[in-house]
Amino acid sequence: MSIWEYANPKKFMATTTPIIPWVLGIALAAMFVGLVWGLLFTPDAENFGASVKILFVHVPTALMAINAWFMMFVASLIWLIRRHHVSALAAKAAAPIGATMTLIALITGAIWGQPTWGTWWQWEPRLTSFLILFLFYLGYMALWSAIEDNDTAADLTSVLCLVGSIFALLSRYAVRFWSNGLHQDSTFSADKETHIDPSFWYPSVIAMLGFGLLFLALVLIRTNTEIRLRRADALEARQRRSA
Amino acid sequence: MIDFGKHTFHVWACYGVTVTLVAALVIQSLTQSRKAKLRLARVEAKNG
Amino acid sequence: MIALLLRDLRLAVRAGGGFGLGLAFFLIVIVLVPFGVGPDKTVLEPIAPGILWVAALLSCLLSLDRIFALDFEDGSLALLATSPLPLEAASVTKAVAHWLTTGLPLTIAAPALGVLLHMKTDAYAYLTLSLALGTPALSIIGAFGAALTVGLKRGGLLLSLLVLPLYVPTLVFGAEAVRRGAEGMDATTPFVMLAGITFGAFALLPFASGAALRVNLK
Repeated sequence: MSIWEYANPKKFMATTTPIIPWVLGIALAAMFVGLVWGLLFTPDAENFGASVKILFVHVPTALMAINAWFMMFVASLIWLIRRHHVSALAAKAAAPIGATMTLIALITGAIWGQPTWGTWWQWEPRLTSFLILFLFYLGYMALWSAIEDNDTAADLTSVLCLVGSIFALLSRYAVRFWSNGLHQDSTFSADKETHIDPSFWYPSVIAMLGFGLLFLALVLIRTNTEIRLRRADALEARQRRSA
Repeated sequence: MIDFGKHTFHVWACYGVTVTLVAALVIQSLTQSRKAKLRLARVEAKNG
Repeated sequence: MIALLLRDLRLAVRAGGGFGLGLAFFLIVIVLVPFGVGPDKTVLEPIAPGILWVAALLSCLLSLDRIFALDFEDGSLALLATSPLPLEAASVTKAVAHWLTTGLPLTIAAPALGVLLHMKTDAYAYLTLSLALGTPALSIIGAFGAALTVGLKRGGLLLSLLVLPLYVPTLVFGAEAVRRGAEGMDATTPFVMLAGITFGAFALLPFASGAALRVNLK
């Protein structure tokens, strides 16, 4: 029994199809609980007032925006090294989700910044890095849709993802160097739980869990969609040949 | 309407944007999945 | 490798297009800026280094799709792939040729255009040095983007979308070096980072370009 068994598209689909509704259901439930709790049942923070409630959506989406790219990086590596089609398709499936998460993080970050910094947009390192990350997602998706042959597209997008990862990291440092930060230090990272009041911590952890599971569910759904489309394409091509 | 003082608009705008975009993404994923299932079923039926 | 370099250079000069076009575009962008923001010296002076860098970057972008496209169409790229010269080396050569026909003229022309933007006198040396250090990185990164999109019929726009985000670090450090130079601050850090990007890109990206070319030639 090895994890590579799931690289077989049939096995992958047979295993994931029954669990998708559960993952999606739990994800939506956790998001609902986390967000409603965060929105309605947390006190206002001393310095920020009620605007602190925005962090319950901003932080999980920002986290998923980066994790989605990281997952695409790993999936691209697996495709280039072991050439498992499911891996390439999973990377393709993750890109629109990651792009949406980046967009949400950007918009909520800008809205959060308005009362805090007094302007809707501030060229501040992390916000700028996310804007660049968003551009990387757009380029990646554009390259996928521009190339007709599936394996060529998988190869080229994987190479782009690897190179893009290096440059995304580099941009992050460049941008940090270029402007001095206004952003909060990462108060919400899990290891610093002691710094924040538990009344903020529980709902945010539930919301993060919800967004994480949502990402998983959507990746599974979209990967299965891609596998089915690929199979339908192959069958149609075979039909045309025999006809 | 729940009031968050001077930040009411910002908070609701954020949650609104998030819920809208996430819902759009989920719905789009599910529709595409259904379409792919139908297409594959049709092709497989024709192929015997 | 040198033969290939010379051939590319000759082609670029004879075809005329890429060589003069990038420079002309650079000039036009610089001339347009004062029309957009006004001729006021106090406005132009502080933004001059950044505008010059952005304009140089855009002019570089203009001729990127020609790096591989012509050779791909007439089959000489496929021929190159079967030659003893690995595609990695070929992509370095192509990038160097692109730099010699685009980056180098831009670097030489930039100080003259700096005058048009009332750039501070102290900044000229920094501008030339930062462009000389940074534009090779633009060429090699661009060659990677061109290698990715070479098989596509209308890859030009996609190429810009792919390459521009990759240009961010180079632009940040390049423009920062000139800005610091203009303000009399210490510009060592951005220069070191800029050189790091250029050398790093030349060391690593040819392998990515070579892999992309091989996929496209399959």
